[in-house]
Amino acid sequence: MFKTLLILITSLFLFTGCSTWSTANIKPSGQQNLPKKIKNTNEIVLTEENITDRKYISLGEIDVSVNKLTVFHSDPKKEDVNKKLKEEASKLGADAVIFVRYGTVGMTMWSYGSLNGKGRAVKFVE
Amino acid sequence: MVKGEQLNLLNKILFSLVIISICFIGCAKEAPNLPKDYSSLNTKNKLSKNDFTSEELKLSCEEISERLKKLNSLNNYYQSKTKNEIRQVAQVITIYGAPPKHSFPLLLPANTNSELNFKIAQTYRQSDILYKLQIFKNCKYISK
Repeated sequence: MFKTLLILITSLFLFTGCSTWSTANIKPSGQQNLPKKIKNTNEIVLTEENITDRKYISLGEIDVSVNKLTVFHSDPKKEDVNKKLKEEASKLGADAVIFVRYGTVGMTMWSYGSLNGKGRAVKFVE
Repeated sequence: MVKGEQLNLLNKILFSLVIISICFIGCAKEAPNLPKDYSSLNTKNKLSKNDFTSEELKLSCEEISERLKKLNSLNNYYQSKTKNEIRQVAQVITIYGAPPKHSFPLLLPANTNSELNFKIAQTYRQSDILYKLQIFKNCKYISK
């Protein structure tokens, strides 16, 4: 009975629910005394380029890794990395993440599939 | 077979599978470093004419935007190629299970995408120079 329950729970864990786990590292730029207005992640602009038509201050560089839970789960995608970057940016009170860059999916010490992403969190001034 | 021997064999099989996976699927590659911050109001980095070649300084804002667009699409192409190669290698493993005896190239523990990764790094380097130039020339790029 206990064995059946254990197998069922393990199967549920493997094939449904969370398929990724992630880590984040933030290198702040020093502008930490700004009042933080936590934004909805949907409002945060994400771009692989620079934003030159609006003035901004840099809040810091965000480095995230999204990892798949087990070898049976699908590989993490750019969309997963984008979601994590936006989450971290919103904690900083950023309006946008610029110069977003991605690594390539592969194995690491801790995961069968990991995708790294970086970006600079900025806050518009005007 | 004695239970201890069975466990030992199982451990060996699992270990071999992990090693084979590392060889064929490859290690994750970190995202390239971001370009230096020259455009935020709180940056301490400054740009001057000496940071660019004379040919680069002759480019107009429109030409810079055009080149950036081409580099970005080239980058996306290389990245999708990288993804497809990883997928193809993974499919070979799925089809064959253990590597076939005659497939020597597959047995080499190497990153099959090293050339593509080099090209991706090159496009980022060239883009970084153009982003710097955009800032130096005060080009206004309309954000999406």
